Amino acid sequence: MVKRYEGQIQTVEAITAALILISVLAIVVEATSVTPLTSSFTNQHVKLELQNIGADILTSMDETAYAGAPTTNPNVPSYLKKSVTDWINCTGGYEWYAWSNNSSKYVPLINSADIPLDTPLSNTLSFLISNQSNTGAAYNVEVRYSNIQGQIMNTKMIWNGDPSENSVTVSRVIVLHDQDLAAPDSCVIPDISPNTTLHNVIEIRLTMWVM
Amino acid sequence: MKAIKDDGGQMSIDFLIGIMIFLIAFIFLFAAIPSMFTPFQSNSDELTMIADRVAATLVENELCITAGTNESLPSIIDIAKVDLLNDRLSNPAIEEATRKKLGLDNGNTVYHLQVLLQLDNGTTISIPGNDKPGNQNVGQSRRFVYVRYMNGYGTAYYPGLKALLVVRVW
Repeated sequence: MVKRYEGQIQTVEAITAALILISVLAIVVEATSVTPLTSSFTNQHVKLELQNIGADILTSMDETAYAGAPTTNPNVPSYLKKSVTDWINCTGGYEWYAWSNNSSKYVPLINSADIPLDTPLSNTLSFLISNQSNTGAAYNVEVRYSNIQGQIMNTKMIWNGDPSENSVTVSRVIVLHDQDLAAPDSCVIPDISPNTTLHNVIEIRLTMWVM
Repeated sequence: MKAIKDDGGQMSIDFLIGIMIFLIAFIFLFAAIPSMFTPFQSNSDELTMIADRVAATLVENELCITAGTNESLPSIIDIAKVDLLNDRLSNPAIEEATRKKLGLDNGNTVYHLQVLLQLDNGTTISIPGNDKPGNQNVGQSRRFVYVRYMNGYGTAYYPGLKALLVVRVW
């Protein structure tokens, strides 16, 4: 029994066979690995859908006056503008907010004593995260403005971390006047035209990505 | 040592060549077979594009609030027009014509349509209620809208209830 070596595989052949089998397995696994984030039509469609939803949010909120009924009064801000001015005017001053699953609110990141963000935009984003309409997406909101030297500055309103490679950004431009703000001389957005009622022109940027 | 002289039953170069040819054929089949059936299996890419277009038509035109003579507010939806669409899609006499009007006709097939409105207050409106996708391919597209009830009160009247509009085509 011990002396009979017939029918056995020898070391070099065994290694060769093992290599061939492993390389075949590797090729097969590589060839069929498709994840939700693989670049494909489906991935493109997920991004298109997010872009549509984001553009819908900004459009619908910007064309709706912050009032109890339709109005043609130009002094009534839109829901989108109201979201920005409420954020600027809030008692704690300029603050970043992040989504909290525990309280289902956008809670302050810097000073936890501040109250959670409660603006029309944050409520809309909360609705899109809720179980009723779960889009499975995360949202960042940034505000971009120019200072008096003409440099473009960026500040964060809602920040849920760095977006993934497959994020989509939509933006909308809003004009702020001095009378929209509680403290026009000391707020986070500088006055670019001190001698007129124009305060600044800001770009509100909504970045969305699938988690 | 007798064993060194005894070559019987060992793996030869012939076997290696044979198994390599077999594995190459195996890999080729793995790669080729799924694409051989592609023309017969999936039309979901096409359905997804149709769903995108129908969602855009509904949200930016068909269902939206009209202000003045020829203005409409995109992404803001009139619940009366939702009810009208539901009536048209539920009426067997004009159902197919309604779907054709929305661009759900590719010349051979008139596709089925389901619209879901997932409202802020927790309710979901399904149009038409009795037509549901089975186990075939479905294209889906989602939009964010405000739904306004012109006869309602509070936020339902203005600015409207926040809602996610889901369009399914099959």
